[in-house]
Amino acid sequence: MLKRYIQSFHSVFLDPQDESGSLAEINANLPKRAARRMSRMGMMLHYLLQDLDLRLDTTIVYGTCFSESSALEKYLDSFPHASPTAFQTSIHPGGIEQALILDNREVGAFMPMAGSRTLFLQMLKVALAAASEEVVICGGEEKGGWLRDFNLAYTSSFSFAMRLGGDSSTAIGELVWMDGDEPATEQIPELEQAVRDLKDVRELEMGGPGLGRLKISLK
Amino acid sequence: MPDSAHAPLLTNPVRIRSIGCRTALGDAAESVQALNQGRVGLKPVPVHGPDGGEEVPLALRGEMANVIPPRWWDDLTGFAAEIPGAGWGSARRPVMFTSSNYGIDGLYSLGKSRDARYAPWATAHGCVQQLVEHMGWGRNVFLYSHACVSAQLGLYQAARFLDARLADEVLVLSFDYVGPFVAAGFHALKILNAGWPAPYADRETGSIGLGDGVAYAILDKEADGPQIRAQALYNEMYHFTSNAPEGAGFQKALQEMAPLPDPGNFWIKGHGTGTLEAGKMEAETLHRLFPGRPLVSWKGSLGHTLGSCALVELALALEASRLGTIPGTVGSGSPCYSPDVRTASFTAGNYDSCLLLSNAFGGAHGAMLVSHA
Repeated sequence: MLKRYIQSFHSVFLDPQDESGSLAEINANLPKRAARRMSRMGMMLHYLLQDLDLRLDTTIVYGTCFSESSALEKYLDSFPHASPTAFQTSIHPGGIEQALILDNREVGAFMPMAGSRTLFLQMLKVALAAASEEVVICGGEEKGGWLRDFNLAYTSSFSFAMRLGGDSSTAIGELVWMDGDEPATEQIPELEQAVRDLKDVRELEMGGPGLGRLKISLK
Repeated sequence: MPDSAHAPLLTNPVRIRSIGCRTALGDAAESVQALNQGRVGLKPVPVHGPDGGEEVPLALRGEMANVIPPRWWDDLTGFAAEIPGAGWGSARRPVMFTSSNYGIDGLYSLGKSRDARYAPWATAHGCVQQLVEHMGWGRNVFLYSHACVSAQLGLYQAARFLDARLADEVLVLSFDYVGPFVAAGFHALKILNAGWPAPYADRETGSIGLGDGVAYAILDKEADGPQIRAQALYNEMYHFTSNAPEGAGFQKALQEMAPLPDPGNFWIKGHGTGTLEAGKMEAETLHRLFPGRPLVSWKGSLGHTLGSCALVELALALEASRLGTIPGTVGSGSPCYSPDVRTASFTAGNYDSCLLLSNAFGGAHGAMLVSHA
Protein backbone atom coordinates (compact mmCIF):
# COMPACT_ATOMS: atom_id res chain seq x y z
CA MET A 1 0.00 0.00 0.00
CA LEU A 2 1.22 3.48 -0.84
CA LYS A 3 -0.19 6.55 0.86
CA ARG A 4 0.23 10.30 0.45
CA TYR A 5 -1.40 13.18 2.27
CA ILE A 6 -3.45 15.68 0.29
CA GLN A 7 -2.67 19.25 1.31
CA SER A 8 -4.98 21.08 -1.08
CA PHE A 9 -7.39 20.48 -3.93
CA HIS A 10 -8.89 23.15 -6.18
CA SER A 11 -10.73 23.09 -9.46
CA VAL A 12 -12.19 25.47 -12.03
CA PHE A 13 -15.11 24.79 -14.35
CA LEU A 14 -15.79 27.46 -16.93
CA ASP A 15 -19.43 28.36 -17.54
CA PRO A 16 -20.21 26.61 -20.86
CA GLN A 17 -22.52 29.49 -21.81
CA ASP A 18 -20.01 32.19 -20.95
CA GLU A 19 -16.45 30.92 -20.91
CA SER A 20 -15.03 34.41 -21.45
CA GLY A 21 -16.89 35.72 -18.41
CA SER A 22 -15.60 32.86 -16.25
CA LEU A 23 -12.06 33.46 -17.43
CA ALA A 24 -12.29 37.18 -16.74
CA GLU A 25 -13.30 36.40 -13.16
CA ILE A 26 -10.41 34.08 -12.42
CA ASN A 27 -7.77 36.05 -14.27
CA ALA A 28 -8.45 39.58 -13.11
CA ASN A 29 -4.80 39.98 -12.13
CA LEU A 30 -3.32 38.45 -15.26
CA PRO A 31 -1.50 40.98 -17.48
CA LYS A 32 -3.80 41.64 -20.46
CA ARG A 33 -1.04 41.24 -23.01
CA ALA A 34 -0.09 37.85 -21.59
CA ALA A 35 -3.70 36.73 -21.36
CA ARG A 36 -4.24 37.45 -25.06
CA ARG A 37 -1.56 34.91 -25.92
CA MET A 38 -2.67 32.22 -23.49
CA SER A 39 -5.01 29.32 -24.04
CA ARG A 40 -7.98 28.75 -21.75
CA MET A 41 -6.10 25.82 -20.25
CA GLY A 42 -3.07 28.03 -19.64
CA MET A 43 -5.19 30.66 -17.89
CA MET A 44 -7.07 28.15 -15.74
CA LEU A 45 -3.84 26.47 -14.69
CA HIS A 46 -2.19 29.80 -13.94
CA TYR A 47 -5.06 30.62 -11.62
CA LEU A 48 -4.81 27.28 -9.83
CA LEU A 49 -1.04 27.15 -9.56
CA GLN A 50 -0.20 30.78 -8.83
CA ASP A 51 -0.35 30.41 -5.06
CA LEU A 52 1.16 26.94 -4.82
CA ASP A 53 4.72 26.75 -3.57
CA LEU A 54 6.62 24.96 -6.34
CA ARG A 55 10.18 24.02 -5.50
CA LEU A 56 12.82 22.28 -7.55
CA ASP A 57 12.15 19.14 -5.56
CA THR A 58 8.41 19.29 -6.19
CA THR A 59 7.31 16.66 -8.70
CA ILE A 60 4.64 17.93 -11.08
CA VAL A 61 2.33 15.44 -12.76
CA TYR A 62 0.27 17.01 -15.53
CA GLY A 63 -2.37 15.28 -17.60
CA THR A 64 -4.76 16.09 -20.38
CA CYS A 65 -6.47 13.97 -22.95
CA PHE A 66 -6.95 16.48 -25.76
CA SER A 67 -4.48 19.16 -24.73
CA GLU A 68 -4.63 22.59 -26.38
CA SER A 69 -7.68 22.09 -28.60
CA SER A 70 -8.01 25.68 -29.74
CA ALA A 71 -4.35 25.99 -30.63
CA LEU A 72 -4.49 22.64 -32.45
CA GLU A 73 -7.48 23.80 -34.50
CA LYS A 74 -5.79 27.11 -35.29
CA TYR A 75 -2.62 25.34 -36.32
CA LEU A 76 -4.41 22.83 -38.54
CA ASP A 77 -6.50 25.59 -40.12
CA SER A 78 -3.36 27.60 -40.87
CA PHE A 79 -2.07 25.10 -43.45
CA PRO A 80 -0.54 25.36 -45.97
CA HIS A 81 1.00 28.44 -44.27
CA ALA A 82 1.66 26.78 -40.93
CA SER A 83 1.42 29.20 -38.00
CA PRO A 84 4.54 29.17 -35.81
CA THR A 85 2.64 30.58 -32.84
CA ALA A 86 -0.16 28.04 -33.06
CA PHE A 87 2.36 25.22 -33.51
CA GLN A 88 4.27 26.35 -30.45
CA THR A 89 1.11 26.66 -28.35
CA SER A 90 -0.30 23.34 -29.53
CA ILE A 91 2.66 21.29 -28.36
CA HIS A 92 1.95 19.14 -25.33
CA PRO A 93 2.29 20.28 -22.48
CA GLY A 94 1.67 23.84 -23.66
CA GLY A 95 -1.09 24.69 -21.16
CA ILE A 96 0.90 24.30 -17.99
CA GLU A 97 4.03 25.68 -19.61
CA GLN A 98 2.17 28.91 -20.36
CA ALA A 99 1.17 29.12 -16.71
CA LEU A 100 4.68 28.49 -15.40
CA ILE A 101 6.63 30.47 -18.00
CA LEU A 102 4.53 33.56 -17.33
CA ASP A 103 6.09 33.77 -13.85
CA ASN A 104 9.38 32.02 -14.74
CA ARG A 105 8.72 29.25 -12.23
CA GLU A 106 11.49 26.71 -12.70
CA VAL A 107 10.68 23.11 -11.78
CA GLY A 108 12.55 19.82 -11.52
CA ALA A 109 10.78 16.53 -12.22
CA PHE A 110 7.86 17.41 -14.47
CA MET A 111 5.77 14.56 -15.89
CA PRO A 112 3.37 15.64 -18.63
CA MET A 113 1.07 12.76 -19.48
CA ALA A 114 -1.46 11.96 -22.14
CA GLY A 115 -4.15 9.31 -22.25
CA SER A 116 -7.87 8.84 -22.10
CA ARG A 117 -9.95 6.51 -19.95
CA THR A 118 -7.24 5.53 -17.47
CA LEU A 119 -5.37 8.85 -17.55
CA PHE A 120 -6.34 10.13 -14.09
CA LEU A 121 -5.66 6.76 -12.47
CA GLN A 122 -2.23 6.62 -14.10
CA MET A 123 -1.44 10.21 -13.10
CA LEU A 124 -2.18 9.37 -9.48
CA LYS A 125 -0.01 6.26 -9.66
CA VAL A 126 2.86 8.32 -11.06
CA ALA A 127 2.36 10.81 -8.23
CA LEU A 128 2.50 8.02 -5.67
CA ALA A 129 5.77 6.79 -7.17
CA ALA A 130 7.37 10.25 -7.07
CA ALA A 131 10.80 10.55 -5.50
CA SER A 132 9.82 13.76 -3.74
CA GLU A 133 7.47 14.27 -0.82
CA GLU A 134 5.90 17.32 -2.46
CA VAL A 135 3.85 16.52 -5.55
CA VAL A 136 1.41 18.62 -7.54
CA ILE A 137 -1.08 16.77 -9.74
CA CYS A 138 -2.87 18.99 -12.22
CA GLY A 139 -4.50 19.02 -15.60
CA GLY A 140 -7.74 19.54 -17.40
CA GLU A 141 -9.34 20.00 -20.77
CA GLU A 142 -10.59 22.87 -22.88
CA LYS A 143 -13.73 23.00 -24.98
CA GLY A 144 -12.96 22.40 -28.61
CA GLY A 145 -14.50 23.66 -31.84
CA TRP A 146 -14.61 21.57 -34.99
CA LEU A 147 -12.45 18.84 -33.44
CA ARG A 148 -15.44 17.99 -31.23
CA ASP A 149 -17.24 16.74 -34.34
CA PHE A 150 -14.71 13.93 -34.41
CA ASN A 151 -14.60 13.30 -30.64
CA LEU A 152 -11.11 14.81 -30.63
CA ALA A 153 -11.81 17.64 -28.22
CA TYR A 154 -13.66 18.10 -24.99
CA THR A 155 -17.15 19.54 -24.64
CA SER A 156 -16.34 21.78 -21.68
CA SER A 157 -13.39 23.54 -20.08
CA PHE A 158 -12.12 22.69 -16.64
CA SER A 159 -8.92 22.35 -14.72
CA PHE A 160 -7.74 21.13 -11.33
CA ALA A 161 -4.71 21.04 -9.06
CA MET A 162 -4.04 18.79 -6.08
CA ARG A 163 -1.02 19.16 -3.83
CA LEU A 164 0.41 16.20 -1.93
CA GLY A 165 2.83 16.50 0.95
CA GLY A 166 4.21 14.53 3.86
CA ASP A 167 2.63 16.38 6.79
CA SER A 168 -0.42 14.53 8.08
CA SER A 169 -1.28 17.31 10.55
CA THR A 170 -2.03 19.82 7.78
CA ALA A 171 -3.65 17.32 5.42
CA ILE A 172 -7.15 17.73 4.05
CA GLY A 173 -7.28 14.15 2.82
CA GLU A 174 -5.49 11.00 1.73
CA LEU A 175 -4.54 9.27 -1.48
CA VAL A 176 -4.13 5.52 -1.01
CA TRP A 177 -3.02 2.92 -3.55
CA MET A 178 -3.81 -0.73 -2.84
CA ASP A 179 -1.76 -2.77 -5.26
CA GLY A 180 -3.10 -6.27 -5.78
CA ASP A 181 -6.49 -5.40 -4.24
CA GLU A 182 -8.27 -4.88 -7.50
CA PRO A 183 -11.99 -4.52 -8.14
CA ALA A 184 -13.40 -7.35 -10.24
CA THR A 185 -14.80 -4.92 -12.75
CA GLU A 186 -13.36 -1.67 -13.99
CA GLN A 187 -14.52 1.45 -12.14
CA ILE A 188 -12.87 4.45 -13.71
CA PRO A 189 -14.69 7.75 -14.14
CA GLU A 190 -13.90 10.20 -16.93
CA LEU A 191 -11.42 12.87 -15.83
CA GLU A 192 -14.09 15.56 -15.60
CA GLN A 193 -16.38 13.32 -13.54
CA ALA A 194 -13.49 12.39 -11.25
CA VAL A 195 -12.72 16.06 -10.61
CA ARG A 196 -16.41 16.84 -10.02
CA ASP A 197 -16.69 13.94 -7.56
CA LEU A 198 -13.68 15.20 -5.64
CA LYS A 199 -15.09 18.71 -5.59
CA ASP A 200 -18.63 17.78 -4.59
CA VAL A 201 -18.64 14.30 -3.04
CA ARG A 202 -15.11 14.53 -1.57
CA GLU A 203 -14.49 10.87 -2.15
CA LEU A 204 -13.42 8.77 -5.09
CA GLU A 205 -12.52 5.12 -5.54
CA MET A 206 -11.35 3.66 -8.81
CA GLY A 207 -9.48 0.78 -10.33
CA GLY A 208 -9.85 -2.35 -12.34
CA PRO A 209 -8.38 -5.74 -13.16
CA GLY A 210 -4.65 -5.32 -13.77
CA LEU A 211 -4.85 -1.68 -12.76
CA GLY A 212 -5.03 -1.86 -8.96
CA ARG A 213 -7.34 0.10 -6.69
CA LEU A 214 -7.01 3.68 -5.60
CA LYS A 215 -8.95 5.69 -3.06
CA ILE A 216 -9.06 9.42 -2.47
CA SER A 217 -10.85 10.92 0.49
CA LEU A 218 -11.08 14.63 1.25
CA LYS A 219 -12.32 16.25 4.46
CA MET B 1 15.71 32.07 -10.89
CA PRO B 2 17.14 31.26 -7.45
CA ASP B 3 20.77 30.25 -7.62
CA SER B 4 21.01 27.92 -4.66
CA ALA B 5 18.68 25.13 -5.70
CA HIS B 6 19.76 22.30 -7.95
CA ALA B 7 17.78 19.82 -9.97
CA PRO B 8 17.56 16.76 -7.72
CA LEU B 9 19.18 13.54 -8.93
CA LEU B 10 17.86 10.00 -8.98
CA THR B 11 20.80 7.84 -8.01
CA ASN B 12 19.36 4.36 -7.51
CA PRO B 13 20.77 2.35 -10.41
CA VAL B 14 18.53 0.40 -12.75
CA ARG B 15 19.71 -2.19 -15.21
CA ILE B 16 19.03 -2.02 -18.92
CA ARG B 17 18.22 -5.69 -19.57
CA SER B 18 17.47 -5.29 -23.25
CA ILE B 19 17.49 -2.36 -25.66
CA GLY B 20 17.11 -1.71 -29.37
CA CYS B 21 16.24 0.95 -31.90
CA ARG B 22 15.64 1.74 -35.54
CA THR B 23 16.55 4.90 -37.36
CA ALA B 24 16.60 5.93 -41.00
CA LEU B 25 19.99 4.19 -41.16
CA GLY B 26 18.67 0.82 -39.95
CA ASP B 27 18.78 -1.02 -36.64
CA ALA B 28 21.20 -0.07 -33.86
CA ALA B 29 24.20 -1.93 -35.30
CA GLU B 30 23.55 -0.68 -38.84
CA SER B 31 23.06 2.88 -37.61
CA VAL B 32 26.29 2.85 -35.60
CA GLN B 33 28.22 1.42 -38.52
CA ALA B 34 26.80 4.08 -40.86
CA LEU B 35 27.60 6.86 -38.39
CA ASN B 36 31.15 5.58 -38.04
CA GLN B 37 31.43 5.74 -41.82
CA GLY B 38 30.25 9.36 -41.69
CA ARG B 39 27.05 8.64 -43.59
CA VAL B 40 24.29 11.26 -43.43
CA GLY B 41 20.79 9.80 -43.27
CA LEU B 42 19.11 13.13 -43.93
CA LYS B 43 17.77 13.80 -47.41
CA PRO B 44 15.95 16.77 -48.94
CA VAL B 45 12.19 16.11 -48.68
CA PRO B 46 9.21 18.44 -49.30
CA VAL B 47 8.13 19.72 -45.90
CA HIS B 48 4.47 18.76 -46.45
CA GLY B 49 5.35 15.34 -47.82
CA PRO B 50 2.89 14.38 -50.55
CA ASP B 51 1.49 17.91 -50.47
CA GLY B 52 4.79 19.54 -51.48
CA GLY B 53 6.50 22.57 -50.00
CA GLU B 54 10.11 23.64 -49.57
CA GLU B 55 12.64 20.82 -49.32
CA VAL B 56 14.04 20.30 -45.83
CA PRO B 57 16.44 17.71 -44.38
CA LEU B 58 14.54 14.68 -43.12
CA ALA B 59 15.78 11.17 -42.32
CA LEU B 60 12.73 8.96 -42.81
CA ARG B 61 12.07 5.23 -42.68
CA GLY B 62 9.40 5.60 -45.37
CA GLU B 63 7.81 8.33 -47.43
CA MET B 64 5.33 10.66 -45.77
CA ALA B 65 1.79 9.88 -46.95
CA ASN B 66 -1.83 10.61 -46.07
CA VAL B 67 -2.92 7.01 -45.57
CA ILE B 68 -4.82 4.76 -43.14
CA PRO B 69 -3.27 3.11 -41.21
CA PRO B 70 -0.42 5.61 -40.98
CA ARG B 71 2.72 4.98 -43.00
CA TRP B 72 4.60 4.02 -39.80
CA TRP B 73 2.18 1.32 -38.63
CA ASP B 74 3.91 -1.72 -40.14
CA ASP B 75 7.33 -0.45 -39.12
CA LEU B 76 6.27 0.13 -35.51
CA THR B 77 4.35 -3.12 -35.08
CA GLY B 78 7.23 -5.05 -36.67
CA PHE B 79 9.64 -3.46 -34.22
CA ALA B 80 7.34 -4.05 -31.24
CA ALA B 81 6.97 -7.71 -32.20
CA GLU B 82 10.70 -8.18 -31.65
CA ILE B 83 10.63 -6.88 -28.06
CA PRO B 84 11.48 -9.81 -25.77
CA GLY B 85 9.29 -10.90 -22.88
CA ALA B 86 5.59 -11.31 -22.35
CA GLY B 87 2.83 -9.81 -20.29
CA TRP B 88 3.63 -6.20 -21.08
CA GLY B 89 1.01 -3.83 -19.77
CA SER B 90 0.09 -6.16 -16.91
CA ALA B 91 0.07 -5.08 -13.27
CA ARG B 92 3.77 -5.78 -12.59
CA ARG B 93 5.04 -5.10 -16.14
CA PRO B 94 3.91 -1.62 -17.07
CA VAL B 95 4.75 0.04 -20.35
CA MET B 96 5.99 3.63 -20.42
CA PHE B 97 5.21 5.07 -23.85
CA THR B 98 7.09 8.20 -24.77
CA SER B 99 6.87 10.43 -27.81
CA SER B 100 6.57 14.06 -28.73
CA ASN B 101 3.86 13.48 -31.32
CA TYR B 102 2.88 9.78 -31.22
CA GLY B 103 2.91 9.78 -35.00
CA ILE B 104 -0.22 11.86 -35.25
CA ASP B 105 -0.08 12.20 -39.01
CA GLY B 106 -3.78 11.44 -38.77
CA LEU B 107 -4.43 14.85 -37.25
CA TYR B 108 -2.86 16.62 -40.22
CA SER B 109 -4.79 14.42 -42.67
CA LEU B 110 -8.01 14.99 -40.74
CA GLY B 111 -7.44 18.75 -40.71
CA LYS B 112 -6.98 18.72 -44.45
CA SER B 113 -9.80 16.40 -45.40
CA ARG B 114 -12.23 16.39 -42.45
CA ASP B 115 -12.38 12.65 -43.10
CA ALA B 116 -13.49 10.89 -39.89
CA ARG B 117 -11.54 7.75 -40.76
CA TYR B 118 -8.38 9.55 -39.61
CA ALA B 119 -9.81 10.30 -36.15
CA PRO B 120 -8.65 7.07 -34.41
CA TRP B 121 -5.09 7.97 -35.48
CA ALA B 122 -5.29 11.62 -34.49
CA THR B 123 -4.50 11.46 -30.77
CA ALA B 124 -1.69 10.03 -28.67
CA HIS B 125 -4.06 7.71 -26.83
CA GLY B 126 -5.68 6.62 -30.09
CA CYS B 127 -2.38 5.57 -31.66
CA VAL B 128 -1.21 3.80 -28.48
CA GLN B 129 -4.53 2.02 -28.06
CA GLN B 130 -4.25 0.60 -31.58
CA LEU B 131 -0.75 -0.65 -30.82
CA VAL B 132 -1.65 -2.10 -27.41
CA GLU B 133 -4.61 -3.98 -28.89
CA HIS B 134 -2.55 -5.19 -31.84
CA MET B 135 0.18 -6.50 -29.53
CA GLY B 136 -2.25 -8.04 -27.04
CA TRP B 137 -0.73 -6.04 -24.20
CA GLY B 138 -2.55 -5.07 -21.00
CA ARG B 139 -3.88 -1.64 -20.06
CA ASN B 140 -1.27 -0.74 -17.46
CA VAL B 141 0.36 1.67 -19.86
CA PHE B 142 1.47 5.25 -19.29
CA LEU B 143 1.85 7.94 -21.95
CA TYR B 144 4.40 10.71 -21.46
CA SER B 145 4.80 13.57 -23.85
CA HIS B 146 7.17 16.40 -23.19
CA ALA B 147 8.49 17.34 -26.58
CA CYS B 148 12.12 16.32 -27.06
CA VAL B 149 12.82 15.15 -23.49
CA SER B 150 9.93 12.65 -23.54
CA ALA B 151 12.06 9.49 -23.55
CA GLN B 152 14.14 10.78 -20.63
CA LEU B 153 10.86 10.99 -18.68
CA GLY B 154 9.91 7.42 -19.53
CA LEU B 155 13.27 6.13 -18.35
CA TYR B 156 13.08 8.26 -15.20
CA GLN B 157 9.59 7.05 -14.41
CA ALA B 158 10.54 3.44 -15.07
CA ALA B 159 13.30 3.81 -12.48
CA ARG B 160 10.82 5.30 -10.03
CA PHE B 161 8.35 2.44 -10.49
CA LEU B 162 11.13 -0.08 -9.86
CA ASP B 163 12.35 1.78 -6.79
CA ALA B 164 8.82 2.12 -5.40
CA ARG B 165 8.27 -1.62 -6.05
CA LEU B 166 5.33 -0.85 -8.29
CA ALA B 167 6.83 -3.02 -11.01
CA ASP B 168 9.12 -6.02 -11.48
CA GLU B 169 10.33 -4.81 -14.85
CA VAL B 170 9.32 -1.94 -17.08
CA LEU B 171 9.19 -1.58 -20.84
CA VAL B 172 9.92 1.90 -22.17
CA LEU B 173 8.81 2.23 -25.78
CA SER B 174 9.30 5.40 -27.75
CA PHE B 175 8.36 6.26 -31.31
CA ASP B 176 8.41 9.45 -33.32
CA TYR B 177 7.69 9.40 -37.01
CA VAL B 178 7.82 12.68 -38.87
CA GLY B 179 4.71 13.92 -40.63
CA PRO B 180 3.73 17.25 -42.17
CA PHE B 181 2.17 18.37 -38.86
CA VAL B 182 5.55 18.36 -37.12
CA ALA B 183 7.81 19.18 -40.06
CA ALA B 184 5.75 22.21 -41.04
CA GLY B 185 5.75 23.45 -37.46
CA PHE B 186 9.54 23.40 -37.15
CA HIS B 187 9.76 24.90 -40.63
CA ALA B 188 7.44 27.72 -39.53
CA LEU B 189 9.77 28.37 -36.61
CA LYS B 190 12.54 28.67 -39.24
CA ILE B 191 14.87 26.19 -37.54
CA LEU B 192 14.02 23.45 -40.04
CA ASN B 193 15.16 25.12 -43.23
CA ALA B 194 17.02 24.36 -46.42
CA GLY B 195 20.33 24.31 -44.50
CA TRP B 196 22.03 21.14 -43.33
CA PRO B 197 22.52 20.64 -39.58
CA ALA B 198 26.06 20.86 -38.20
CA PRO B 199 25.73 20.39 -34.41
CA TYR B 200 28.08 22.52 -32.28
CA ALA B 201 29.71 24.11 -35.34
CA ASP B 202 30.36 27.83 -34.94
CA ARG B 203 28.77 29.19 -38.12
CA GLU B 204 26.49 31.92 -39.42
CA THR B 205 23.08 30.24 -39.41
CA GLY B 206 21.70 27.30 -37.53
CA SER B 207 19.51 24.52 -38.85
CA ILE B 208 18.17 21.17 -37.76
CA GLY B 209 17.02 18.03 -39.51
CA LEU B 210 14.23 15.76 -38.33
CA GLY B 211 14.27 11.99 -38.33
CA ASP B 212 12.14 8.93 -37.69
CA GLY B 213 13.13 6.98 -34.61
CA VAL B 214 11.74 4.09 -32.60
CA ALA B 215 13.39 2.47 -29.60
CA TYR B 216 12.69 0.32 -26.56
CA ALA B 217 14.42 -0.57 -23.33
CA ILE B 218 13.52 -3.10 -20.67
CA LEU B 219 14.62 -2.03 -17.20
CA ASP B 220 14.87 -4.00 -13.98
CA LYS B 221 16.86 -3.97 -10.73
CA GLU B 222 19.37 -6.73 -11.45
CA ALA B 223 23.03 -5.85 -11.04
CA ASP B 224 24.78 -7.14 -14.16
CA GLY B 225 24.84 -5.37 -17.54
CA PRO B 226 24.54 -1.71 -18.49
CA GLN B 227 23.02 0.51 -15.83
CA ILE B 228 21.41 3.91 -15.66
CA ARG B 229 23.31 5.21 -12.64
CA ALA B 230 21.95 8.74 -12.30
CA GLN B 231 19.13 10.78 -13.81
CA ALA B 232 18.21 14.45 -13.58
CA LEU B 233 15.30 16.51 -14.87
CA TYR B 234 15.12 20.27 -14.86
CA ASN B 235 12.79 22.79 -16.52
CA GLU B 236 13.80 26.41 -16.85
CA MET B 237 10.33 27.77 -17.69
CA TYR B 238 12.07 30.86 -18.96
CA HIS B 239 10.63 31.05 -22.48
CA PHE B 240 8.80 28.71 -24.85
CA THR B 241 11.51 28.50 -27.47
CA SER B 242 14.68 29.95 -25.98
CA ASN B 243 16.87 29.15 -23.00
CA ALA B 244 17.73 31.33 -20.03
CA PRO B 245 20.70 33.61 -20.77
CA GLU B 246 24.28 32.41 -20.46
CA GLY B 247 23.37 28.75 -20.25
CA ALA B 248 22.07 29.01 -16.68
CA GLY B 249 19.56 26.25 -17.34
CA PHE B 250 22.18 23.87 -18.73
CA GLN B 251 24.31 24.57 -15.68
CA LYS B 252 21.46 23.81 -13.28
CA ALA B 253 20.49 20.63 -15.08
CA LEU B 254 24.02 19.28 -15.05
CA GLN B 255 25.81 20.59 -12.01
CA GLU B 256 24.53 17.81 -9.77
CA MET B 257 26.14 15.31 -12.10
CA ALA B 258 29.57 16.91 -11.67
CA PRO B 259 30.26 15.87 -8.04
CA LEU B 260 28.90 12.33 -8.46
CA PRO B 261 31.12 9.88 -6.59
CA ASP B 262 33.02 7.68 -9.01
CA PRO B 263 31.25 8.79 -12.20
CA GLY B 264 33.59 6.62 -14.23
CA ASN B 265 35.47 7.66 -17.31
CA PHE B 266 32.59 8.90 -19.41
CA TRP B 267 32.08 10.48 -22.78
CA ILE B 268 29.13 12.73 -23.59
CA LYS B 269 26.35 12.25 -26.11
CA GLY B 270 24.95 15.77 -26.20
CA HIS B 271 21.58 16.97 -27.46
CA GLY B 272 23.18 18.99 -30.27
CA THR B 273 20.42 19.57 -32.81
CA GLY B 274 22.24 22.14 -34.91
CA THR B 275 20.63 25.31 -33.56
CA LEU B 276 23.28 27.89 -32.73
CA GLU B 277 22.33 29.38 -29.40
CA ALA B 278 21.38 26.15 -27.60
CA GLY B 279 24.33 24.30 -29.13
CA LYS B 280 26.74 26.97 -27.92
CA MET B 281 25.26 26.98 -24.42
CA GLU B 282 25.35 23.21 -24.18
CA ALA B 283 28.91 22.82 -25.48
CA GLU B 284 30.30 25.64 -23.34
CA THR B 285 28.56 24.45 -20.17
CA LEU B 286 29.80 20.91 -20.69
CA HIS B 287 33.35 22.13 -21.26
CA ARG B 288 33.16 24.16 -18.06
CA LEU B 289 31.74 21.31 -15.94
CA PHE B 290 33.45 18.33 -17.57
CA PRO B 291 36.52 19.59 -19.40
CA GLY B 292 38.20 17.11 -21.71
CA ARG B 293 35.24 14.70 -21.96
CA PRO B 294 34.56 13.91 -25.63
CA LEU B 295 31.27 15.47 -26.79
CA VAL B 296 29.33 14.17 -29.79
CA SER B 297 25.91 14.57 -31.39
CA TRP B 298 24.48 12.35 -34.12
CA LYS B 299 21.53 14.52 -35.16
CA GLY B 300 23.48 15.86 -38.15
CA SER B 301 23.00 12.40 -39.67
CA LEU B 302 19.95 10.82 -38.02
CA GLY B 303 18.04 14.04 -37.77
CA HIS B 304 16.37 14.96 -34.51
CA THR B 305 14.20 12.01 -33.56
CA LEU B 306 12.26 14.36 -31.27
CA GLY B 307 10.64 12.80 -28.19
CA SER B 308 12.38 9.51 -28.89
CA CYS B 309 15.89 10.89 -29.25
CA ALA B 310 17.04 10.01 -25.72
CA LEU B 311 16.13 6.34 -26.07
CA VAL B 312 17.22 6.01 -29.70
CA GLU B 313 20.59 7.56 -28.89
CA LEU B 314 20.96 5.51 -25.70
CA ALA B 315 20.52 2.33 -27.78
CA LEU B 316 23.12 3.62 -30.24
CA ALA B 317 25.55 4.62 -27.49
CA LEU B 318 25.43 1.15 -25.93
CA GLU B 319 25.74 -0.54 -29.31
CA ALA B 320 28.69 1.69 -30.25
CA SER B 321 30.37 0.80 -26.98
CA ARG B 322 29.78 -2.91 -27.63
CA LEU B 323 31.19 -2.61 -31.15
CA GLY B 324 34.21 -0.68 -29.88
CA THR B 325 33.99 2.63 -31.75
CA ILE B 326 32.00 5.73 -30.80
CA PRO B 327 30.82 7.75 -33.82
CA GLY B 328 31.81 11.41 -33.96
CA THR B 329 29.61 14.40 -34.70
CA VAL B 330 28.69 13.57 -38.28
CA GLY B 331 27.99 16.64 -40.39
CA SER B 332 30.06 19.06 -38.29
CA GLY B 333 33.53 20.49 -38.72
CA SER B 334 35.80 23.12 -37.20
CA PRO B 335 35.45 25.60 -35.70
CA CYS B 336 33.22 24.24 -32.95
CA TYR B 337 31.92 25.85 -29.79
CA SER B 338 34.10 23.67 -27.58
CA PRO B 339 37.45 21.94 -27.97
CA ASP B 340 35.79 18.81 -26.58
CA VAL B 341 33.56 18.30 -29.63
CA ARG B 342 34.69 15.22 -31.54
CA THR B 343 33.92 15.23 -35.23
CA ALA B 344 35.69 11.90 -35.84
CA SER B 345 35.01 8.47 -34.31
CA PHE B 346 37.03 7.40 -31.28
CA THR B 347 37.82 4.20 -29.42
CA ALA B 348 35.24 3.10 -26.89
CA GLY B 349 37.72 1.05 -24.88
CA ASN B 350 38.97 4.10 -23.00
CA TYR B 351 35.55 4.77 -21.49
CA ASP B 352 33.21 2.89 -19.19
CA SER B 353 30.15 5.13 -19.28
CA CYS B 354 28.28 7.83 -21.15
CA LEU B 355 26.40 10.97 -20.11
CA LEU B 356 23.34 11.42 -22.36
CA LEU B 357 21.54 14.75 -22.59
CA SER B 358 18.26 15.97 -24.04
CA ASN B 359 16.62 19.40 -24.26
CA ALA B 360 13.20 20.61 -25.33
CA PHE B 361 10.89 23.57 -25.71
CA GLY B 362 10.25 25.39 -22.47
CA GLY B 363 13.89 24.99 -21.45
CA ALA B 364 13.36 21.36 -20.49
CA HIS B 365 16.48 19.32 -19.71
CA GLY B 366 16.98 15.61 -19.13
CA ALA B 367 20.28 13.93 -18.31
CA MET B 368 21.35 10.39 -17.47
CA LEU B 369 24.66 8.75 -16.69
CA VAL B 370 24.80 5.22 -18.10
CA SER B 371 27.52 2.66 -17.52
CA HIS B 372 28.31 0.55 -20.58
CA ALA B 373 28.46 -2.78 -18.76
